Amino acid sequence: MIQTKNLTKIYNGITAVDNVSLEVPSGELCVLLGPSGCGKSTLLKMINALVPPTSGEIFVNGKNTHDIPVELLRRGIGYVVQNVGLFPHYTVMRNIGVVMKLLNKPKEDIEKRALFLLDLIGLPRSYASRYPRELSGGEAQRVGVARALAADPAILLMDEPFGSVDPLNREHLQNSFTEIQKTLKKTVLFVTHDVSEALMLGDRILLMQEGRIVREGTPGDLVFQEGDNFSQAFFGSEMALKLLSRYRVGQAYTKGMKIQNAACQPSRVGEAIPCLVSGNMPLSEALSLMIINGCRELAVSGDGFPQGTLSFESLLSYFRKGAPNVQ
Amino acid sequence: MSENKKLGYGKVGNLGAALYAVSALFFPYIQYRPNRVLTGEAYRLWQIDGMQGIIYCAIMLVISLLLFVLPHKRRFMRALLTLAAVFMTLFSLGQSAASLTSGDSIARASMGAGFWLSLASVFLMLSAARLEYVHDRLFQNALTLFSLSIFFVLLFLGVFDGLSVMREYLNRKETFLSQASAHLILASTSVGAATLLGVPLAFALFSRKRLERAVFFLVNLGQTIPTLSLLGLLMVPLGYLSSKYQIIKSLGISGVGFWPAWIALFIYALFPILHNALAGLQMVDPAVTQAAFSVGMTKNQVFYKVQIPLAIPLMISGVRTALTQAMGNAVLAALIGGGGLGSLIFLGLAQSAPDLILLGTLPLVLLTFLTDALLGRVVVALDKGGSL
Ligand SMILES: Nc1ncnc2c1ncn2[C@@H]1O[C@H](COP(=O)(O)OP(=O)(O)OP(=O)(O)O)[C@@H](O)[C@H]1O
Ligand SMILES: [Mg+2]
Repeated sequence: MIQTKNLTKIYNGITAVDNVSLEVPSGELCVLLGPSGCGKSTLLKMINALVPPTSGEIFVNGKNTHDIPVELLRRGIGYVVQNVGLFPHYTVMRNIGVVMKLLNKPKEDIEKRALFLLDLIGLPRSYASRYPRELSGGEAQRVGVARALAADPAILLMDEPFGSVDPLNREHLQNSFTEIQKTLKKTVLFVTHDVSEALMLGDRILLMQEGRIVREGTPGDLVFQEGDNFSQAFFGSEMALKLLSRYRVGQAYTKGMKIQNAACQPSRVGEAIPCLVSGNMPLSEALSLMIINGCRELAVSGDGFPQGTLSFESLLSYFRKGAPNVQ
Repeated sequence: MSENKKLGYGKVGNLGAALYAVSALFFPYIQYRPNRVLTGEAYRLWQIDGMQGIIYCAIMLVISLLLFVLPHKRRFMRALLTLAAVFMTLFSLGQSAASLTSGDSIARASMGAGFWLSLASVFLMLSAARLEYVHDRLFQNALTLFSLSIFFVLLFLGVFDGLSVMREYLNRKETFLSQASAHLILASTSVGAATLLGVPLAFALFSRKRLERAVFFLVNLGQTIPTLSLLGLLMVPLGYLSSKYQIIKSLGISGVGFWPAWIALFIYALFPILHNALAGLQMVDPAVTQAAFSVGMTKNQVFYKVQIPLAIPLMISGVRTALTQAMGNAVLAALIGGGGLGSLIFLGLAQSAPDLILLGTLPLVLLTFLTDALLGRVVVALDKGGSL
């Protein structure tokens, strides 16, 4: 659990973080969302004791961070630095293993763990012996994520961890991160200024503006309830579409319908055949498929889902009462 | 032109090979004088002692020709030929000198323009050969080492003994060796002491801006005084101190001799060492230092595991600069009785004996080159982060 009480940071007269009280319960992935310069990184750095607060208190797992030696506090927190911050004189392997090394873990364990994490972040194992200067920006950032995960900390602070990764790999990382999070249930404070990413990943979103938290709630709340001007502008009018990527076809479709009905208009595909999709497909993709193929219905089958169809109407009715809370 | 049909070295190597042939053919390779101070006559390589010179010259021409016509991909052959070229340049010099002066102990033979040109062209070829092996550090180093050992083996076999420089050496072996070691000691201990002071001082000054500016003002000041003036300036207070205090005198410190020279070199070495050590520390990306803290390193761990390793390559290149500079400046120590190779050089100047000047200069050049190359390797080996 992470908790802050009336946390404030003033840099030479500039208030970067303004009286922030927040709580991230254990096992929750909380997204800190806000425009550039609104104080997200500063807030994270204060929690990791890299920056002393001007006033206010921070509690990690119920303990005031003042009472924990900073090194111990930090070794128990996985921290992904915004600007990567890999050690240029360490290989990828040593970079990933640095916290475990500080915790005096045996060498074999460190190596095994590093290789496992390389697989997880989708980098070839041969990268283990490379130096950071031999990595692209996105690759380095992924190694930064691996480094934060290495010692299996219960708490993760992630400062725009996928910021410079290309869209394809970002999606892969976001998906594998959601998967890991489902099983490991870490307490995560995740910083981003990307609304789609926030809506897709967050259990809860804190919207920041000029150092203050101006709005908070589940992704569904934020999309379906009206906010102030800033919030509306920041989320943009496409926010409902972005929210769709949180949900899977399997959550919204109608079971048991005959899939023969789900025939596409012959606008793109030559003949009228059913568009078959998996229950695991994100709703955003399903909608996109409907638009591209010009069909109102998709046939759902496979991956352990009973046959059925997803129609545009079932999509609308799924969200009729706001955004459902699903895992 | 396609990769396969290309012939010979690249531009640099071809230039070297061409100069190599030209130097053997057209330039006076060796200078002959009936005695130490008389001016003499110049010989081209093929003019020497009947067949011998012609054969050397022919071999060198063949090497040059082969370098031009070998297919581009035969880089190993070219590397071997380059080593052969090194050998021939040196060997033919020694042999010609020996045959010109054989049995005549007053006659002198020294290197002519042709030899120097030949040597320069060999350097060009060597660097071209190294360039062909950019990805093979080991082979590059082997090439350099082989060329050096060719020189040293020939030297120890006495191949150069006919040369006037070697005659000077043989005449004053004792003096030479003691002056050479004095030179080395002077340069290395002053730089060593400057390192011992400069590096910790850099740590102390690191992130203390005010103090840094004050110290650099002083160090810069020392740097701007010309070496000779500094030596002169040091003579006065040191002479005064040693005449005033028995203890300083008994340490052997006075206005002339080893110590003023040592102190001057020390002051000169301090600047590049301090400057680079500080720059090395300051160059460490604050984001990296912060990341080191963020993973839970203690202040000491950040210092020893991150800041020092990242700063060390630049620190050592500071020492490297200082040492190169000190080797050269130490020549001036001779002017105030500090010894070193400078005493041979200045003696040579006084006697207008160019061979003696060479005897002081050549080992100096070689030593400087060697230490510089060695420290350069160390820097590269330590620079894991690739910041330089
Ligand atoms: N060390 C510092 N000294 C002075 N001002 C600072 C410092 N660090 C941050 N600030 C200021 O504090 C404010 C918040 O910075 P912060 O880095 O927390 O923003 P951010 O929300 O992380 O932005 P971004 O999305 O661009 O990373 C900014 O106005 C910034 O200029
Ligand atoms: Mg930031």
